[in-house]
Amino acid sequence: MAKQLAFYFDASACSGCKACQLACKDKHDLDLGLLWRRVYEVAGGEWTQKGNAWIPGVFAYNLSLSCNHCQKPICLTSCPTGAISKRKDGIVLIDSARCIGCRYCEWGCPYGSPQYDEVTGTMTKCHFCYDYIDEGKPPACVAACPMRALDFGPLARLKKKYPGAQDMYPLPPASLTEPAIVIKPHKDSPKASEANASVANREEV
Amino acid sequence: MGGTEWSLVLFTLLVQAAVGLFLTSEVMAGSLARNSRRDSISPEHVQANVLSLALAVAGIGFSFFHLGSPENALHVLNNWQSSWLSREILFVLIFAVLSAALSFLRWKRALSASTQRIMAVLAGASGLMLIFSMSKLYMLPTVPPWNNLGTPVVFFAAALLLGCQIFGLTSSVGIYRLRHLPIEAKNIFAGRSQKILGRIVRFSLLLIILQFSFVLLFYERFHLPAHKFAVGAQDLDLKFQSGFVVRLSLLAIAALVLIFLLTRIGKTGAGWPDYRFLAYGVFCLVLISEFIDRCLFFAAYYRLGL
Repeated sequence: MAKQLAFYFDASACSGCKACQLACKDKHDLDLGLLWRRVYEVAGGEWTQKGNAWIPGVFAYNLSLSCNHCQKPICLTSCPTGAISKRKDGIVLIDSARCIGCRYCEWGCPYGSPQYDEVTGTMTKCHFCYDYIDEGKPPACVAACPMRALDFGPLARLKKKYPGAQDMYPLPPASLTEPAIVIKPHKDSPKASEANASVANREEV
Repeated sequence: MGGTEWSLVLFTLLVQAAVGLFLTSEVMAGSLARNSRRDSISPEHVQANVLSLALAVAGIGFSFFHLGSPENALHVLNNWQSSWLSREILFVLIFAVLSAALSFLRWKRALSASTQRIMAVLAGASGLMLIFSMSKLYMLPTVPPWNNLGTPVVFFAAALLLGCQIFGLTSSVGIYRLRHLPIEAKNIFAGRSQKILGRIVRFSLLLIILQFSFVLLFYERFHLPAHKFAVGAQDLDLKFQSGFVVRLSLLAIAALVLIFLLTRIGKTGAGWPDYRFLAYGVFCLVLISEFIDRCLFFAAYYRLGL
Protein backbone atom coordinates (compact mmCIF):
# COMPACT_ATOMS: atom_id res chain seq x y z
CA MET A 1 0.00 0.00 0.00
CA ALA A 2 1.49 3.34 -1.04
CA LYS A 3 -0.01 5.24 1.87
CA GLN A 4 -2.73 4.85 4.45
CA LEU A 5 -5.06 7.82 4.71
CA ALA A 6 -6.11 8.64 8.25
CA PHE A 7 -8.05 11.13 10.35
CA TYR A 8 -6.64 13.26 13.15
CA PHE A 9 -8.81 14.30 16.06
CA ASP A 10 -7.86 16.82 18.74
CA ALA A 11 -10.05 16.05 21.75
CA SER A 12 -8.74 19.09 23.61
CA ALA A 13 -9.97 21.43 20.86
CA CYS A 14 -13.38 19.88 20.08
CA SER A 15 -16.28 21.96 21.40
CA GLY A 16 -18.94 19.34 20.55
CA CYS A 17 -20.72 21.60 18.05
CA LYS A 18 -21.38 18.60 15.77
CA ALA A 19 -20.71 20.55 12.58
CA CYS A 20 -18.67 17.55 11.33
CA GLN A 21 -21.61 15.21 11.93
CA LEU A 22 -24.02 17.52 10.11
CA ALA A 23 -21.66 18.22 7.20
CA CYS A 24 -21.30 14.47 6.66
CA LYS A 25 -25.03 13.82 6.88
CA ASP A 26 -25.73 16.68 4.50
CA LYS A 27 -23.08 15.78 1.95
CA HIS A 28 -24.18 12.15 1.72
CA ASP A 29 -27.90 12.89 2.18
CA LEU A 30 -28.11 10.20 4.86
CA ASP A 31 -31.48 8.84 5.94
CA LEU A 32 -32.87 9.13 9.45
CA GLY A 33 -30.83 7.04 11.89
CA LEU A 34 -27.66 6.94 9.81
CA LEU A 35 -24.64 8.84 11.12
CA TRP A 36 -21.34 8.09 9.44
CA ARG A 37 -19.62 10.49 11.86
CA ARG A 38 -20.77 10.65 15.44
CA VAL A 39 -19.84 12.99 18.26
CA TYR A 40 -19.83 11.20 21.63
CA GLU A 41 -20.05 13.23 24.82
CA VAL A 42 -18.08 11.49 27.55
CA ALA A 43 -18.94 12.69 31.04
CA GLY A 44 -18.29 11.60 34.60
CA GLY A 45 -16.94 12.50 38.03
CA GLU A 46 -18.76 13.78 41.07
CA TRP A 47 -18.93 16.55 43.64
CA THR A 48 -17.26 15.84 46.97
CA GLN A 49 -17.96 17.52 50.31
CA LYS A 50 -15.12 19.02 52.33
CA GLY A 51 -16.49 20.58 55.50
CA ASN A 52 -19.18 22.98 54.40
CA ALA A 53 -17.86 23.23 50.84
CA TRP A 54 -18.67 21.11 47.78
CA ILE A 55 -15.68 20.57 45.51
CA PRO A 56 -16.43 19.89 41.82
CA GLY A 57 -14.69 16.84 40.38
CA VAL A 58 -16.81 16.54 37.27
CA PHE A 59 -15.44 16.46 33.73
CA ALA A 60 -16.68 16.14 30.16
CA TYR A 61 -15.14 15.97 26.72
CA ASN A 62 -16.13 15.06 23.16
CA LEU A 63 -15.02 12.38 20.79
CA SER A 64 -15.74 12.77 17.07
CA LEU A 65 -15.51 9.40 15.37
CA SER A 66 -16.19 7.97 11.93
CA CYS A 67 -14.90 4.82 10.24
CA ASN A 68 -11.20 4.58 11.06
CA HIS A 69 -10.34 2.80 7.80
CA CYS A 70 -8.39 0.32 9.90
CA GLN A 71 -5.18 -1.33 8.77
CA LYS A 72 -6.58 -4.67 10.01
CA PRO A 73 -10.30 -4.16 9.28
CA ILE A 74 -12.50 -6.87 10.84
CA CYS A 75 -15.33 -5.82 8.52
CA LEU A 76 -13.28 -6.57 5.39
CA THR A 77 -12.06 -10.01 6.43
CA SER A 78 -15.45 -11.12 7.72
CA CYS A 79 -17.65 -9.89 4.85
CA PRO A 80 -18.82 -13.03 3.00
CA THR A 81 -19.44 -11.37 -0.35
CA GLY A 82 -16.25 -9.37 -0.73
CA ALA A 83 -18.38 -6.21 -0.84
CA ILE A 84 -15.90 -4.47 1.46
CA SER A 85 -12.58 -3.53 -0.08
CA LYS A 86 -9.59 -1.33 0.69
CA ARG A 87 -8.28 1.14 -1.87
CA LYS A 88 -4.60 1.71 -2.51
CA ASP A 89 -4.77 4.78 -0.30
CA GLY A 90 -6.22 2.70 2.58
CA ILE A 91 -9.83 3.86 2.32
CA VAL A 92 -12.26 1.04 3.20
CA LEU A 93 -15.30 1.00 0.90
CA ILE A 94 -18.59 -0.94 0.74
CA ASP A 95 -19.95 -1.92 -2.67
CA SER A 96 -23.73 -1.90 -2.14
CA ALA A 97 -24.28 -3.86 -5.38
CA ARG A 98 -22.56 -6.83 -3.72
CA CYS A 99 -23.72 -6.36 -0.10
CA ILE A 100 -26.37 -8.85 1.10
CA GLY A 101 -27.19 -6.89 4.27
CA CYS A 102 -26.25 -9.73 6.64
CA ARG A 103 -24.89 -7.14 9.12
CA TYR A 104 -21.94 -9.34 10.01
CA CYS A 105 -19.55 -6.37 9.60
CA GLU A 106 -21.68 -4.41 12.07
CA TRP A 107 -21.39 -7.19 14.69
CA GLY A 108 -17.62 -7.17 14.63
CA CYS A 109 -16.57 -3.54 14.18
CA PRO A 110 -15.56 -2.10 17.60
CA TYR A 111 -16.30 1.45 16.39
CA GLY A 112 -19.86 0.80 15.19
CA SER A 113 -18.93 2.18 11.78
CA PRO A 114 -20.89 -0.04 9.37
CA GLN A 115 -24.55 0.93 9.66
CA TYR A 116 -27.56 -0.76 8.16
CA ASP A 117 -29.66 1.26 5.72
CA GLU A 118 -33.27 0.13 6.12
CA VAL A 119 -34.22 1.63 2.75
CA THR A 120 -31.63 -0.11 0.57
CA GLY A 121 -31.21 -3.22 2.76
CA THR A 122 -27.43 -2.85 2.61
CA MET A 123 -24.63 -1.69 4.88
CA THR A 124 -23.26 1.83 4.64
CA LYS A 125 -20.38 3.70 6.26
CA CYS A 126 -17.96 6.60 5.95
CA HIS A 127 -15.96 6.38 2.73
CA PHE A 128 -13.62 9.26 3.58
CA CYS A 129 -15.38 11.40 0.91
CA TYR A 130 -13.18 9.62 -1.61
CA ASP A 131 -14.75 11.69 -4.40
CA TYR A 132 -13.43 14.86 -2.72
CA ILE A 133 -10.07 13.17 -2.03
CA ASP A 134 -9.76 12.28 -5.72
CA GLU A 135 -10.43 15.95 -6.54
CA GLY A 136 -7.77 17.02 -4.04
CA LYS A 137 -10.29 18.41 -1.54
CA PRO A 138 -10.60 17.59 2.18
CA PRO A 139 -13.44 15.36 3.46
CA ALA A 140 -16.64 17.27 4.35
CA CYS A 141 -16.24 16.74 8.12
CA VAL A 142 -12.67 18.06 8.17
CA ALA A 143 -13.61 21.11 6.08
CA ALA A 144 -16.60 21.89 8.32
CA CYS A 145 -14.84 21.80 11.71
CA PRO A 146 -14.73 25.42 13.06
CA MET A 147 -12.27 24.49 15.82
CA ARG A 148 -9.84 22.77 13.44
CA ALA A 149 -10.06 19.73 15.70
CA LEU A 150 -10.12 17.45 12.65
CA ASP A 151 -7.46 16.89 10.06
CA PHE A 152 -6.60 14.18 7.57
CA GLY A 153 -3.65 12.88 5.60
CA PRO A 154 -1.31 9.93 5.32
CA LEU A 155 -1.09 8.16 8.69
CA ALA A 156 2.71 8.34 8.84
CA ARG A 157 2.64 12.10 8.22
CA LEU A 158 -0.11 12.67 10.81
CA LYS A 159 1.84 10.71 13.40
CA LYS A 160 4.85 12.95 12.82
CA LYS A 161 2.83 16.16 12.78
CA TYR A 162 0.66 15.36 15.82
CA PRO A 163 2.33 13.07 18.35
CA GLY A 164 -0.59 11.35 20.03
CA ALA A 165 -2.35 8.09 20.56
CA GLN A 166 -4.53 5.79 18.44
CA ASP A 167 -7.03 5.22 21.21
CA MET A 168 -8.48 7.20 24.06
CA TYR A 169 -11.07 6.28 26.66
CA PRO A 170 -13.69 4.94 25.81
CA LEU A 171 -12.25 3.55 22.55
CA PRO A 172 -11.23 -0.12 22.47
CA PRO A 173 -7.53 -1.07 22.31
CA ALA A 174 -6.03 -0.06 18.95
CA SER A 175 -4.38 -3.49 18.68
CA LEU A 176 -7.78 -5.02 17.78
CA THR A 177 -7.98 -3.49 14.29
CA GLU A 178 -5.10 -0.99 14.05
CA PRO A 179 -7.30 2.05 13.29
CA ALA A 180 -5.93 4.72 10.95
CA ILE A 181 -6.48 7.58 13.39
CA VAL A 182 -4.29 9.85 15.46
CA ILE A 183 -5.84 11.36 18.57
CA LYS A 184 -4.66 14.12 20.82
CA PRO A 185 -6.31 12.91 24.04
CA HIS A 186 -8.27 15.24 26.29
CA LYS A 187 -6.55 16.02 29.59
CA ASP A 188 -9.40 14.38 31.48
CA SER A 189 -9.42 11.12 29.54
CA PRO A 190 -7.20 9.25 32.08
CA LYS A 191 -9.60 10.46 34.81
CA ALA A 192 -12.55 9.25 32.73
CA SER A 193 -10.98 5.82 32.39
CA GLU A 194 -10.42 5.55 36.15
CA ALA A 195 -13.95 6.73 36.91
CA ASN A 196 -15.47 4.43 34.24
CA ALA A 197 -17.24 7.49 32.81
CA SER A 198 -20.20 7.04 30.47
CA VAL A 199 -21.42 8.41 27.14
CA ALA A 200 -23.89 11.13 28.08
CA ASN A 201 -25.61 11.40 24.69
CA ARG A 202 -26.18 7.70 23.97
CA GLU A 203 -29.68 8.42 22.54
CA GLU A 204 -28.18 10.78 19.94
CA VAL A 205 -25.53 8.44 18.59
CA MET B 1 -28.20 -6.59 17.34
CA GLY B 2 -31.87 -5.77 17.62
CA GLY B 3 -33.56 -8.40 19.78
CA THR B 4 -33.39 -12.10 19.12
CA GLU B 5 -32.49 -13.01 15.55
CA TRP B 6 -35.27 -15.57 14.99
CA SER B 7 -34.13 -16.41 11.46
CA LEU B 8 -30.63 -17.19 12.71
CA VAL B 9 -32.01 -19.19 15.65
CA LEU B 10 -33.93 -21.37 13.18
CA PHE B 11 -31.10 -21.53 10.64
CA THR B 12 -28.47 -22.65 13.15
CA LEU B 13 -30.76 -25.16 14.88
CA LEU B 14 -32.06 -26.71 11.65
CA VAL B 15 -28.65 -26.98 10.00
CA GLN B 16 -27.06 -28.41 13.13
CA ALA B 17 -29.91 -30.92 13.44
CA ALA B 18 -29.41 -31.89 9.77
CA VAL B 19 -25.70 -32.58 10.28
CA GLY B 20 -26.32 -34.41 13.56
CA LEU B 21 -29.03 -36.54 11.97
CA PHE B 22 -26.76 -37.45 9.07
CA LEU B 23 -23.84 -38.40 11.31
CA THR B 24 -25.82 -40.41 13.86
CA SER B 25 -27.83 -42.26 11.21
CA GLU B 26 -24.69 -43.15 9.26
CA VAL B 27 -22.87 -44.42 12.33
CA MET B 28 -25.78 -46.29 13.94
CA ALA B 29 -27.73 -47.64 10.99
CA GLY B 30 -24.59 -48.08 8.90
CA SER B 31 -22.72 -50.19 11.43
CA LEU B 32 -25.80 -52.33 12.03
CA ALA B 33 -26.22 -52.95 8.31
CA ARG B 34 -22.56 -53.98 7.99
CA ASN B 35 -22.75 -56.25 11.05
CA SER B 36 -25.80 -58.04 9.72
CA ARG B 37 -23.99 -58.62 6.37
CA ARG B 38 -27.20 -57.73 4.61
CA ASP B 39 -27.76 -55.02 2.08
CA SER B 40 -25.89 -51.99 3.42
CA ILE B 41 -28.71 -49.69 2.24
CA SER B 42 -31.13 -49.73 5.14
CA PRO B 43 -34.55 -48.02 5.12
CA GLU B 44 -33.34 -45.89 8.06
CA HIS B 45 -30.48 -44.62 5.90
CA VAL B 46 -32.63 -43.30 3.08
CA GLN B 47 -35.24 -41.92 5.47
CA ALA B 48 -32.58 -40.09 7.53
CA ASN B 49 -30.76 -38.81 4.42
CA VAL B 50 -33.94 -37.31 2.98
CA LEU B 51 -34.93 -35.74 6.29
CA SER B 52 -31.42 -34.38 6.82
CA LEU B 53 -31.55 -32.78 3.39
CA ALA B 54 -34.99 -31.31 4.11
CA LEU B 55 -33.76 -29.81 7.41
CA ALA B 56 -30.70 -28.28 5.72
CA VAL B 57 -32.79 -26.80 2.90
CA ALA B 58 -35.33 -25.40 5.40
CA GLY B 59 -32.44 -23.87 7.37
CA ILE B 60 -31.02 -22.24 4.25
CA GLY B 61 -34.51 -20.94 3.44
CA PHE B 62 -34.88 -19.32 6.88
CA SER B 63 -31.44 -17.72 6.60
CA PHE B 64 -32.72 -15.58 3.72
CA PHE B 65 -35.06 -13.77 6.15
CA HIS B 66 -31.97 -12.43 7.89
CA LEU B 67 -30.67 -10.73 4.75
CA GLY B 68 -31.43 -7.16 3.81
CA SER B 69 -30.66 -7.78 0.12
CA PRO B 70 -31.21 -11.48 -0.62
CA GLU B 71 -31.04 -10.72 -4.35
CA ASN B 72 -27.26 -10.35 -3.94
CA ALA B 73 -26.93 -13.77 -2.30
CA LEU B 74 -25.05 -15.20 -5.28
CA HIS B 75 -22.00 -13.20 -4.15
CA VAL B 76 -21.91 -14.99 -0.81
CA LEU B 77 -19.10 -17.40 -1.72
CA ASN B 78 -16.77 -14.65 -3.01
CA ASN B 79 -14.75 -14.22 0.17
CA TRP B 80 -14.27 -17.83 1.33
CA GLN B 81 -10.52 -17.17 1.61
CA SER B 82 -10.99 -15.04 4.74
CA SER B 83 -14.65 -15.04 5.81
CA TRP B 84 -15.99 -17.80 8.08
CA LEU B 85 -19.52 -16.80 7.07
CA SER B 86 -18.65 -17.44 3.43
CA ARG B 87 -17.12 -20.81 4.40
CA GLU B 88 -20.22 -21.71 6.39
CA ILE B 89 -22.40 -21.19 3.32
CA LEU B 90 -19.91 -23.10 1.15
CA PHE B 91 -20.02 -26.13 3.47
CA VAL B 92 -23.80 -26.03 3.89
CA LEU B 93 -24.12 -26.17 0.09
CA ILE B 94 -21.62 -29.03 -0.23
CA PHE B 95 -23.42 -30.90 2.56
CA ALA B 96 -26.83 -30.38 0.95
CA VAL B 97 -25.64 -31.44 -2.51
CA LEU B 98 -23.92 -34.59 -1.19
CA SER B 99 -26.95 -35.47 0.98
CA ALA B 100 -29.25 -35.01 -2.01
CA ALA B 101 -27.04 -37.18 -4.25
CA LEU B 102 -26.71 -39.86 -1.58
CA SER B 103 -30.46 -39.93 -0.91
CA PHE B 104 -31.29 -40.23 -4.60
CA LEU B 105 -28.68 -42.88 -5.42
CA ARG B 106 -29.53 -44.95 -2.34
CA TRP B 107 -33.21 -44.76 -3.17
CA LYS B 108 -32.44 -45.92 -6.73
CA ARG B 109 -30.02 -48.54 -5.31
CA ALA B 110 -27.49 -47.30 -7.83
CA LEU B 111 -24.45 -47.26 -5.52
CA SER B 112 -21.84 -49.84 -4.60
CA ALA B 113 -21.05 -50.18 -0.89
CA SER B 114 -17.61 -48.57 -1.29
CA THR B 115 -18.92 -45.57 -3.28
CA GLN B 116 -21.64 -45.16 -0.71
CA ARG B 117 -19.10 -45.12 2.08
CA ILE B 118 -16.91 -42.55 0.30
CA MET B 119 -19.88 -40.25 -0.35
CA ALA B 120 -21.09 -40.62 3.24
CA VAL B 121 -17.64 -39.80 4.62
CA LEU B 122 -17.40 -36.71 2.38
CA ALA B 123 -20.88 -35.52 3.37
CA GLY B 124 -20.12 -36.17 7.06
CA ALA B 125 -16.82 -34.28 6.82
CA SER B 126 -18.50 -31.32 5.12
CA GLY B 127 -21.14 -31.38 7.88
CA LEU B 128 -18.46 -31.27 10.58
CA MET B 129 -16.68 -28.43 8.77
CA LEU B 130 -20.02 -26.64 8.53
CA ILE B 131 -20.54 -26.72 12.31
CA PHE B 132 -16.91 -25.68 12.83
CA SER B 133 -17.27 -22.73 10.42
CA MET B 134 -20.55 -21.77 12.07
CA SER B 135 -18.81 -21.69 15.46
CA LYS B 136 -15.83 -19.74 14.16
CA LEU B 137 -17.94 -17.06 12.52
CA TYR B 138 -19.51 -16.19 15.87
CA MET B 139 -16.16 -16.21 17.66
CA LEU B 140 -15.42 -12.56 16.82
CA PRO B 141 -12.59 -11.04 18.89
CA THR B 142 -14.80 -8.04 19.68
CA VAL B 143 -17.73 -10.15 20.98
CA PRO B 144 -16.68 -11.70 24.35
CA PRO B 145 -19.85 -13.77 25.03
CA TRP B 146 -19.32 -15.68 21.77
CA ASN B 147 -15.53 -15.64 21.54
CA ASN B 148 -14.84 -18.67 23.73
CA LEU B 149 -14.70 -22.45 23.61
CA GLY B 150 -18.33 -22.66 24.73
CA THR B 151 -19.56 -21.76 21.23
CA PRO B 152 -18.12 -24.76 19.31
CA VAL B 153 -18.64 -27.18 22.20
CA VAL B 154 -22.33 -26.33 22.64
CA PHE B 155 -22.90 -26.20 18.84
CA PHE B 156 -21.40 -29.66 18.25
CA ALA B 157 -23.23 -31.13 21.24
CA ALA B 158 -26.51 -29.58 20.07
CA ALA B 159 -26.00 -30.99 16.57
CA LEU B 160 -25.44 -34.53 17.80
CA LEU B 161 -28.19 -34.38 20.42
CA LEU B 162 -30.82 -33.00 18.05
CA GLY B 163 -29.72 -35.35 15.25
CA CYS B 164 -29.82 -38.36 17.52
CA GLN B 165 -33.27 -37.42 18.81
CA ILE B 166 -34.69 -36.89 15.32
CA PHE B 167 -33.18 -40.20 14.19
CA GLY B 168 -34.85 -41.85 17.19
CA LEU B 169 -38.14 -40.20 16.32
CA THR B 170 -38.10 -41.34 12.69
CA SER B 171 -36.99 -44.85 13.64
CA SER B 172 -39.69 -45.18 16.28
CA VAL B 173 -42.32 -43.94 13.81
CA GLY B 174 -40.96 -46.57 11.41
CA ILE B 175 -41.28 -49.35 13.97
CA TYR B 176 -44.85 -48.32 14.77
CA ARG B 177 -45.78 -48.54 11.09
CA LEU B 178 -44.55 -52.15 11.01
CA ARG B 179 -47.66 -53.29 12.86
CA HIS B 180 -49.48 -53.74 9.53
CA LEU B 181 -46.77 -55.99 8.01
CA PRO B 182 -46.97 -59.78 7.93
CA ILE B 183 -45.46 -61.28 11.08
CA GLU B 184 -42.27 -62.60 9.40
CA ALA B 185 -41.36 -59.32 7.78
CA LYS B 186 -42.26 -57.51 10.97
CA ASN B 187 -39.84 -59.65 12.98
CA ILE B 188 -36.95 -58.98 10.59
CA PHE B 189 -37.37 -55.20 10.65
CA ALA B 190 -38.53 -54.89 14.24
CA GLY B 191 -35.48 -56.66 15.67
CA ARG B 192 -33.19 -54.41 13.69
CA SER B 193 -35.05 -51.21 14.60
CA GLN B 194 -35.15 -52.22 18.27
CA LYS B 195 -31.35 -52.41 18.26
CA ILE B 196 -31.08 -48.98 16.68
CA LEU B 197 -33.53 -47.50 19.17
CA GLY B 198 -31.59 -48.99 22.07
CA ARG B 199 -28.43 -47.36 20.81
CA ILE B 200 -30.19 -44.03 20.28
CA VAL B 201 -31.52 -43.97 23.84
CA ARG B 202 -28.10 -44.74 25.35
CA PHE B 203 -26.32 -42.21 23.10
CA SER B 204 -28.99 -39.55 23.77
CA LEU B 205 -28.58 -40.04 27.50
CA LEU B 206 -24.83 -39.59 27.21
CA LEU B 207 -25.26 -36.45 25.08
CA ILE B 208 -27.84 -34.94 27.43
CA ILE B 209 -25.49 -35.44 30.38
CA LEU B 210 -22.63 -33.87 28.39
CA GLN B 211 -24.76 -30.93 27.21
CA PHE B 212 -25.98 -30.37 30.80
CA SER B 213 -22.34 -30.21 31.93
CA PHE B 214 -21.32 -27.89 29.07
CA VAL B 215 -24.17 -25.47 29.83
CA LEU B 216 -23.04 -25.26 33.46
CA LEU B 217 -19.36 -25.07 32.51
CA PHE B 218 -19.79 -22.21 30.03
CA TYR B 219 -22.52 -20.30 31.87
CA GLU B 220 -20.02 -17.61 32.86
CA ARG B 221 -19.54 -16.55 29.24
CA PHE B 222 -22.91 -14.81 29.21
CA HIS B 223 -22.18 -12.68 32.26
CA LEU B 224 -22.09 -8.92 32.01
CA PRO B 225 -18.79 -7.27 31.09
CA ALA B 226 -16.93 -5.05 33.52
CA HIS B 227 -16.39 -2.55 30.69
CA LYS B 228 -19.23 -0.05 30.55
CA PHE B 229 -18.71 0.56 26.84
CA ALA B 230 -19.91 -2.77 25.70
CA VAL B 231 -22.54 -1.91 23.09
CA GLY B 232 -25.76 -3.81 23.58
CA ALA B 233 -24.90 -4.91 27.11
CA GLN B 234 -27.98 -4.94 29.26
CA ASP B 235 -29.05 -6.33 32.57
CA LEU B 236 -29.22 -9.91 31.47
CA ASP B 237 -28.86 -11.57 34.83
CA LEU B 238 -32.51 -12.18 35.72
CA LYS B 239 -33.59 -13.12 32.20
CA PHE B 240 -30.60 -15.38 31.74
CA GLN B 241 -30.80 -17.09 35.09
CA SER B 242 -34.44 -18.05 34.53
CA GLY B 243 -33.68 -19.14 30.95
CA PHE B 244 -30.84 -21.38 32.07
CA VAL B 245 -32.87 -22.84 34.93
CA VAL B 246 -35.64 -23.82 32.48
CA ARG B 247 -33.10 -25.21 29.98
CA LEU B 248 -31.29 -27.30 32.58
CA SER B 249 -34.57 -28.53 34.11
CA LEU B 250 -35.79 -29.72 30.70
CA LEU B 251 -32.54 -31.59 30.07
CA ALA B 252 -32.68 -33.17 33.54
CA ILE B 253 -36.27 -34.36 33.01
CA ALA B 254 -35.33 -35.75 29.57
CA ALA B 255 -32.40 -37.66 31.13
CA LEU B 256 -34.63 -39.11 33.87
CA VAL B 257 -37.19 -40.30 31.30
CA LEU B 258 -34.44 -41.96 29.25
CA ILE B 259 -33.07 -43.71 32.36
CA PHE B 260 -36.61 -44.92 33.08
CA LEU B 261 -36.92 -46.24 29.52
CA LEU B 262 -33.60 -48.08 29.76
CA THR B 263 -34.66 -49.77 32.99
CA ARG B 264 -38.06 -50.81 31.62
CA ILE B 265 -37.33 -52.02 28.11
CA GLY B 266 -36.31 -55.62 27.90
CA LYS B 267 -36.86 -56.37 31.58
CA THR B 268 -40.62 -56.12 31.62
CA GLY B 269 -41.15 -57.67 28.21
CA ALA B 270 -42.42 -54.38 26.88
CA GLY B 271 -41.20 -53.09 23.50
CA TRP B 272 -40.46 -49.63 22.16
CA PRO B 273 -43.93 -49.11 20.69
CA ASP B 274 -45.39 -49.27 24.23
CA TYR B 275 -43.25 -46.37 25.35
CA ARG B 276 -43.13 -44.34 22.18
CA PHE B 277 -45.01 -41.38 23.65
CA LEU B 278 -42.39 -41.05 26.39
CA ALA B 279 -39.71 -41.02 23.68
CA TYR B 280 -41.60 -38.31 21.77
CA GLY B 281 -41.80 -36.34 25.02
CA VAL B 282 -38.03 -36.52 25.43
CA PHE B 283 -37.61 -35.20 21.88
CA CYS B 284 -39.87 -32.23 22.69
CA LEU B 285 -37.99 -31.47 25.91
CA VAL B 286 -34.63 -31.54 24.11
CA LEU B 287 -35.94 -29.41 21.25
CA ILE B 288 -37.39 -26.73 23.57
CA SER B 289 -34.21 -26.75 25.67
CA GLU B 290 -31.97 -26.22 22.63
CA PHE B 291 -34.32 -23.53 21.29
CA ILE B 292 -34.10 -21.62 24.60
CA ASP B 293 -30.32 -21.93 24.56
CA ARG B 294 -30.08 -20.55 21.04
CA CYS B 295 -32.34 -17.60 21.86
CA LEU B 296 -30.17 -16.83 24.90
CA PHE B 297 -27.05 -17.12 22.74
CA PHE B 298 -28.19 -14.41 20.35
CA ALA B 299 -29.68 -12.25 23.11
CA ALA B 300 -26.31 -12.33 24.92
CA TYR B 301 -24.63 -10.37 22.13
CA TYR B 302 -22.62 -7.36 23.09
CA ARG B 303 -19.37 -6.10 21.68
CA LEU B 304 -16.37 -4.17 22.84
CA GLY B 305 -16.11 -0.58 21.77
CA LEU B 306 -18.48 2.21 20.93
